[in-house]
Amino acid sequence: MSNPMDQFRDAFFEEATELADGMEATLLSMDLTAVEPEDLHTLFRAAHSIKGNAATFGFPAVASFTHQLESTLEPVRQGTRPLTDDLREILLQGVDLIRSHLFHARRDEVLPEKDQQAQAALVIKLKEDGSAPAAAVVAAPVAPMVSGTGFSIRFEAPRDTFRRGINLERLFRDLAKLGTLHTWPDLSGVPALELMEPEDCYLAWDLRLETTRPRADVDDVFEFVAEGENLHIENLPQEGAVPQLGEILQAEAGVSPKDIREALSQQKQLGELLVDMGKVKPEAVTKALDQQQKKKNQAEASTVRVATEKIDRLVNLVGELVITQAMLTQASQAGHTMQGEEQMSAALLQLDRHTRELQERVMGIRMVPVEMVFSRFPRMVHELGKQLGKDVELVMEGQATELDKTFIEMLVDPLTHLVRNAVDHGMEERAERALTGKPAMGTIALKAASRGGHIHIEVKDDGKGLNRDRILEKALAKGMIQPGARPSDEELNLLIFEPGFSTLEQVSDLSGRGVGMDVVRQNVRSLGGRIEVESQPGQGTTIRLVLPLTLAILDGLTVRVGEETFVFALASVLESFSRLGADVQTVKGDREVINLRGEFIPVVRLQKLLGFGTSGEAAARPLLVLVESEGRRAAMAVDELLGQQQVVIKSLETHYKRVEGISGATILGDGRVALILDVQGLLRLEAGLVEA
Amino acid sequence: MARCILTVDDSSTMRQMITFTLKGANFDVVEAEDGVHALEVAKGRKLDLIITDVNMPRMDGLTLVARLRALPEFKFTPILVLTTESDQSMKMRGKEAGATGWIVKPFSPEKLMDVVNKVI
Repeated sequence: MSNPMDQFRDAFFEEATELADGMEATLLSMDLTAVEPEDLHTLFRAAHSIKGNAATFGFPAVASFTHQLESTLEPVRQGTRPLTDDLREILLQGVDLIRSHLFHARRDEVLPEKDQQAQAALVIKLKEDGSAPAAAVVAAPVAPMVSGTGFSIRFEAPRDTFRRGINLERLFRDLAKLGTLHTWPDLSGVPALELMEPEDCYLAWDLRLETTRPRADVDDVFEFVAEGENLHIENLPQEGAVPQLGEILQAEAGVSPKDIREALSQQKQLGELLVDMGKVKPEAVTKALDQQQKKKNQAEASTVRVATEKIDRLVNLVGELVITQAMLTQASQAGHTMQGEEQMSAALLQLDRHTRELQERVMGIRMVPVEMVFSRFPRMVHELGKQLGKDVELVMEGQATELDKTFIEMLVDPLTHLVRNAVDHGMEERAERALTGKPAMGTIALKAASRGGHIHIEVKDDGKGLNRDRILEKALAKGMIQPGARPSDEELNLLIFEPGFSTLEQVSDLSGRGVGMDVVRQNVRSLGGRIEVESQPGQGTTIRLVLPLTLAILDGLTVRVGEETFVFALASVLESFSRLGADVQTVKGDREVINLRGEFIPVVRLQKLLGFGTSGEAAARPLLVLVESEGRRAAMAVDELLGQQQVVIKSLETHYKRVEGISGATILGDGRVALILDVQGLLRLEAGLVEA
Repeated sequence: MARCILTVDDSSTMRQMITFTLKGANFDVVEAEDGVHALEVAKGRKLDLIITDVNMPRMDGLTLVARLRALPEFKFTPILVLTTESDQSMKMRGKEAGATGWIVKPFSPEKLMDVVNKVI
């Protein structure tokens, strides 16, 4: 016999059938006007036994049906439900069904269709007549499966340990089987001899169990003695984590956890001591602690975890550089010979390659996956959707895209605002979606991708899209655009990022204060990025943040204006062309515009705008560089294009002060300083929005 | 000398299953049909463990536990009660009566031995 349970099969069926027969006999013999309580108990016990045995011997269908009968009988035997003639009839039918169950189970058959229907009908009757039967089996709570280095356990034996015949020695032996067990008995609970009840247990233990077994195994050992408060099980710190001093003393020097707890409780904090001495007010300590916490947070934010592998690559590269330097020295010593020249150019080529790689890898250290920001959104969207009564689904793409760590931190707020806005304003109400024939489930897509030296982060919804007329109306009312102006769709869309702009009359709890969008623009700008908006009425809105790869290095176009050299961020340059042949027209006396493929674009004279040199020279500058920022364009008049190169950005603010129109400075190959132009700022200067 | 276990259940199938399993593990086993019978069987006998069902005629399992605990020779003897999963409160009532632990029905022979090994 393969299954040891099989040999009890026949015994089970015989006994269960006998019990069913007994139930029938009892039911029939009962005088319903004078019910004997013992008869009710007999009925209940019979059902209970059949159920328990059926479950044990592997006949779940029998067990679950009998459970229904048992549940019906429970209130009857408690006297809360009268045993009526009808109920007796129902119970008798139940007994018949048990018999049928047993008959078919014994032959490994399923219950016939006819009986199944009868059972379904009967179960309803059982329910109709009284309270709904409880679920057949309540699953026991499953302890979380945590596997780690082990557990630190505090166990206070229950007072009645001995009187319940619990064998503590056995318990400790079982624990020790799980791993390495250290025990520290705690006798402090034992009272003075004259107060002691000899049969009570006053013992407690601090235990340290080093094991890789899951928590459930430990819980199982304590099953019969755990009474909630008397048992505390904590995970030991993970491998590699810095242990507390107390941990080490406990493991190495055998100091008991109780002693450590006591010592720690006596230890006072500096602030507390000073307050006690009357040297400082408690409020001052609280404030100082706040400050300390802030510093701690900052310290955490200003460190970055780097994989050892990345550092090893750097060390290798530095090694290569040293070799290259040796090559250069050698080449320079060889002088102006053919061989020397050859060596020199080979070494320079190598230097170039290594420097570039070194730069990329050093930048790589600061790169972290955008996942770090994205990960918070699924939960947020889920909750927002619930709160607003909208069915929204979040789709994410490109979580592995790497971004400068600074960006990650500064993107949290903007993206939160954008996602909120998309759910709150972008997404239509359920009814509206249904009317327009859209799927009930709205979709918000969060995408990150690296595109040609930039990182694009998109928040896209399939909602109602921006309302062009409303934005125009609002912008006019707020004086953001002049009456009669005909802004392009793009310009209009970008207005939603203006401070104080909000088209929503009713400010909701979540968004619509016109604050969020402003913050978005500010943060993105300060990262040297820009915002693009695409919106189709009824189709949805896409807001795209275009960010540079890193803050420290910029792809620049160096130009000469008079005696000065300037750098434009390549990202903001659209094209450059000769002034000759371009259609430049003078307006309002001294201002110039250029007609470029039907669009009139102002010509900007840098020396006038930034206040250097003499202003009359503008007309002489032969080249125009077309730049764009946030949908606005201008043609910058320059003398010469010097070239395209990566420049390292040095902050002007930290060394001098903030200058409108200038985003920083850089040191050129020849050691001269060149200013990096902030196209956005220049355009604002040009428009007369700010003073230079 | 083999250790001796008393198993108390009104269901003979259940008793047979328990007895079979325990004998397979080299225990001596004595049986009783209900609480009253159990007290008679236990009298004058040295028992290492008692396993009892709760719902039984004449005397239920919890009363049996309390009565055994009142006897000097069974004051500290391990006693396990058989209970059903749907009846969580039974564990508490078993504890209050003085039971050492419980075995949740339905159980397999392996589970039975696990719990027995836990208490003796």
